[in-house]
Amino acid sequence: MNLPNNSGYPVSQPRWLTSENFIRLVLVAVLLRIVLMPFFGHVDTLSEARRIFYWDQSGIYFDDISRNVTLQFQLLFYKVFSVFIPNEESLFALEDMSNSTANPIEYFEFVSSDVIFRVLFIIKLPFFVADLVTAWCVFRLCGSDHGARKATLLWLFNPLMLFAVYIFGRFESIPVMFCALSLLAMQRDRIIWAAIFLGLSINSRELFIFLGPVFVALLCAPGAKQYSLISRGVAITVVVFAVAVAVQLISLTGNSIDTFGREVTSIASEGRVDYLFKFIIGSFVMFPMVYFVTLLFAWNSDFETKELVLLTFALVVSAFFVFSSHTAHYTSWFILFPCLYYARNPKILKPCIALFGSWFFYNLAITDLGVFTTWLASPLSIHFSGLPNFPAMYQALGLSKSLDLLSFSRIWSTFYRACLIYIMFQIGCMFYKQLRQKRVG
Amino acid sequence: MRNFISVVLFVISALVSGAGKATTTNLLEFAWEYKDLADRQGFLTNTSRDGFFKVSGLDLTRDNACFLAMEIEFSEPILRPALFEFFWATKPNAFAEQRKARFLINHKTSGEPSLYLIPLCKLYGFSGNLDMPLRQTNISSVRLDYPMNRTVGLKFHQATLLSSDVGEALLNEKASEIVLIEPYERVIASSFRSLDVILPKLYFSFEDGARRLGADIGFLLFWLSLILTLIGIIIWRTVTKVNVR
Repeated sequence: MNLPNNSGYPVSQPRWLTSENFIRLVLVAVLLRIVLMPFFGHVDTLSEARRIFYWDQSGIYFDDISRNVTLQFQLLFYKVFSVFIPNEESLFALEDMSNSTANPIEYFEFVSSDVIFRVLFIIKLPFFVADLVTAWCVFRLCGSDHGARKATLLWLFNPLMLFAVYIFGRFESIPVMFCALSLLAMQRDRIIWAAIFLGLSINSRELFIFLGPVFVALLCAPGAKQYSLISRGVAITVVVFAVAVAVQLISLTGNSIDTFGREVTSIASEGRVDYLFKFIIGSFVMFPMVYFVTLLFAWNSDFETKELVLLTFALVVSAFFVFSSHTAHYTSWFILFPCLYYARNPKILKPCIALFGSWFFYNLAITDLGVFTTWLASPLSIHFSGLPNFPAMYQALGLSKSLDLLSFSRIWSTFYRACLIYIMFQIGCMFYKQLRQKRVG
Repeated sequence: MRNFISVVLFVISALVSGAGKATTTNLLEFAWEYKDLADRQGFLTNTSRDGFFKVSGLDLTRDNACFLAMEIEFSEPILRPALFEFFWATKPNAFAEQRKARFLINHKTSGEPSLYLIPLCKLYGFSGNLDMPLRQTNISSVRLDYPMNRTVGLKFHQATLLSSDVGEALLNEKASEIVLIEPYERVIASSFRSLDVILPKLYFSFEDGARRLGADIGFLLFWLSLILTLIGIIIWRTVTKVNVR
């Protein structure tokens, strides 16, 4: 992960990207976020806010999916800023909190509140902070130089994170922030801090659990001998504990009934996990196969751990998106990795732009109610919820006579996955070039 | 040319159907049919998730039913806005999802009636567009569905369908006493191809958004000051940079 100056690629330095212009563009990115924050949100934004409110009021944490840290992070902000929300009980209180997922009617009532703009602004504050901390991490990880500016701008203006956090209104920037902090700690040889931040990331979102075993394998590899046995042992213990909390082994060994008398479920029962085992070519289940190859590579490698950690994490996350079904905002978890590599490899930019385009059209074609539609602008005006979505318009305009909607979505899905694979290919090439340069050196 | 013909057809149809005459139709004078509603101390209260009442025997052009005016008293304040649904039917077409409007009422006080005015003509499904005014047949019945997810008790002091000119006159004369409620609807994709539908819909949406921004002045000022500060910093950095050069 030693990115600065040994990537093997010539580092271009466009004249316009002076430090002054960089600061201006960072301010424009912040401005863009502030403009977007009050006006958009998915139904899940309300569901999540209800849980935070309930936790704040009752002191009982009840969510049974591995998002402990995300909720805690949001709760901290809520405790500080909820004083600015008038009559919060009328907005968030629910008689039956065992059914905290909001329905469209409740959502429409919520967004019709006179104070909805300030509520959405306050709800998104923790996401906004996590997003900016990640931008800072990208800048530091990439060496705080000219390449780092490019990488940071790619992060700040990538439409995936802008959509996930500020339009869809979800907390995706929080787990990504912890992952970036973990990479930064790793770059500075602080492996215990890296393990702690990775543990927080694992407990922020389901996917990041796959990074836990990779991290452990890296610390057990021959390349990790530079770290003391004790620090490796502590780091491994921290990550194993974090994984155990995330899969809820701890609660399953004790009382398995939650606050509402329901059976505590584990991450394995999540539908999203099930998807990972559905992408099969012949008799090979693709994601587990790529994952195990990555694990073996990590465990067996004698390269420096801090060089491998970014590569292996990027491989696992991209394999998840190539070989699974997922909704539009999930892709924001991935974009950190190409941003980091873009600092030293300009060839990452074009496939990234192609990825943004294919992601957009693919999700337009497969959108469900309220996921990738004008419905998300309902806080601005409920009129937007009634406008037809892209698949309906596609049929109504007669475009399906030329190319049916299923084929349209399949084509964009293929482009989308091709972009992911090509980005990974570029990252692999970069790693190989770095390696050759080192050997020649 | 097509739009011109549409406008001419619209004007002719409006004249033939009697639009332009100031009419009011008092729904309280008609027989109401109830489902899952009960009279509780004078307030019509829903007893299930599917409570509604309907009024039949109407024969109104769209223009004569352009506004719905309701003077309502709530049995108790409602903490969150309540979502009501309004259906209309014609002789050939019964109540259906495509002939439905939704609106939200946020009533924070009880014990005093409020006058709500709902401009139904803004709805594409209700009034159609310039391309198809002749297809719109007269309204034979209307139905008001109570909120699905809560119990609401209402006392109707007035429930009237107003023609467009009466509604607009009322809006101009008693603007301070009226609560204007924006109805909204799901527009089918086949209709959304016409600019006659797209432009008004988008206009209503942004107009509604701008109006709603003004509802929370404290936040609006804070938000605008944040934006202006950031723009100011960007400009200041640019100007000072130029001066140094």
